Amino acid sequence: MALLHKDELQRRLGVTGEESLFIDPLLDQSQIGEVTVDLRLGCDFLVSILTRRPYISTVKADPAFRGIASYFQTTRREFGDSFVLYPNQLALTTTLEFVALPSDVYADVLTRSSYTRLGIHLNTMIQPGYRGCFPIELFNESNNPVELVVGARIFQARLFAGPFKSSYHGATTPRKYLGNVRPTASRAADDPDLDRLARIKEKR
Amino acid sequence: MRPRLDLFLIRDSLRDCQETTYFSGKLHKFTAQLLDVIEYVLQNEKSLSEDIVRAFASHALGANRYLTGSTTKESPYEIEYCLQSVVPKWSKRDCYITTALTDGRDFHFEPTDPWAFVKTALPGFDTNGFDPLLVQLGVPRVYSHKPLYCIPLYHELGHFVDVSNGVTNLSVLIQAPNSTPEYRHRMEHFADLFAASYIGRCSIRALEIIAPGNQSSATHPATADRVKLVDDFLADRQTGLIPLFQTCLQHLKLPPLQREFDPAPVKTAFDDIRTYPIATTRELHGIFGSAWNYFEDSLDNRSPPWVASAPTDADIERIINDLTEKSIRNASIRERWNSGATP
Repeated sequence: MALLHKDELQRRLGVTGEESLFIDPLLDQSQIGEVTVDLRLGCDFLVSILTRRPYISTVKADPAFRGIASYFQTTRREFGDSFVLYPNQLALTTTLEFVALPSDVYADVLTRSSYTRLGIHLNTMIQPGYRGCFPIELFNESNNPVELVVGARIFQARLFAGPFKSSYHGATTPRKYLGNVRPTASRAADDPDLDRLARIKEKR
Repeated sequence: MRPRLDLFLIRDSLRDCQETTYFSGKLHKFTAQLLDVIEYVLQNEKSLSEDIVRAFASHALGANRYLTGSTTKESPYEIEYCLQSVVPKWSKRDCYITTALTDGRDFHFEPTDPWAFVKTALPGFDTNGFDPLLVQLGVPRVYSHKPLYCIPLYHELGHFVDVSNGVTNLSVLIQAPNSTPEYRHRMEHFADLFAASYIGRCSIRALEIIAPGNQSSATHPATADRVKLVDDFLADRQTGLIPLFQTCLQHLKLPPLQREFDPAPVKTAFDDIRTYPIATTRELHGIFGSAWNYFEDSLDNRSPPWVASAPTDADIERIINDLTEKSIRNASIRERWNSGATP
């Protein structure tokens, strides 16, 4: 597994085909660093809210189950506007950039150190061949609300190439997040294993 | 309700609006100015006729609906951005695109000009030259993130351009219609041609799908007649009402109806599930026709990458609408980014 460096990142940005790396919009070439790509905060947010339900169930057969999206409120900010993330608040968002990863490259997405020092932590892995805005789960672990500006470089991606060829969007099984351009609530409840596990529980 | 009491309610609603985070400083200023007029009317109500108060309340109520709609964070911002780029060519006044989400399937344009009313009916109120027009558009809520389904908004913008400039009204003086329905049909034909000039044939293709066999009614021409006129226009054939409208526009010192778009070659990008980097304003409008054709072709022919049992038709619809929306959004982001390079 090889970490892509600047020369290779720029080469892949300039080619077409399976090796192509696509980032739109790439507002500033300086976003391509020595071994990372800086990514910006997107416009749409799903903000976790308190509801009357005691917990989020991920089992659809559970009488307490409600659609997971109902635990989130949709909001939007324009490019340059602020979004305030409160302590212990979860907000789902995306990168501003639409990214198409090469079929032999996966990405680790983290917060840049300036934001990690404010208590905003993130660690997401993106599949080879992914198409869409990277999904981001923001969480504020500090004691203070933090103002985040839409369009600011808050995230960085490390891209790793490996000896594999993934066909993310050609897969016969539908990809849940293919082509996403706005945040999507968790689809944990759609995991087919959960039905099986529920049947196992019933048979005990 | 009594007009005075309506004004209290509208004032409170507009104040609530002002407390939300507005995307647009211009809409914020519009709301503040409108609140000033409401206060003026409430304070001077005894010296104003009830008809004037009632008429003003009606203007304010309409504006309130669309101002509120444009701050719900659900508006179709991308297509608003496209429409906003059109209006400077067609109006000497500042125009702000506003939308209200509807629960039905209808798109509509609601004409209003509160500042013209204020100047005429409330001469004691000094607007200080503030007179922007609100372009009030209605959009079905289910389509708010579906730019390809919002194509009829170009037609509705055509109605705005017609009404605010008096194009069809002038046509009546040049060539009188035989009946009221014929006059109304002219308005629809103008809006059709206006939409076609910006987004091409997809403007009328949507109508062919929604109302394929509709006959002529009191308000709308037959679908077949509308399609024919648009096809003639796009083929540069000067038939039917086209020369009349062009003459009216010339008299009004407005630009002629002509192609204002270039096709956006989206196929390579969309086949690879990527956004298309829009390069020009003409492509910004042209992407609607290109993406629409791509969408229909993908549904009908299932060529790669849409061949497998997955994705479903619903997946295709979602992904192509999303790619179109994000392509437009990226164009707007690039423009704003460049505008921030200088103080």
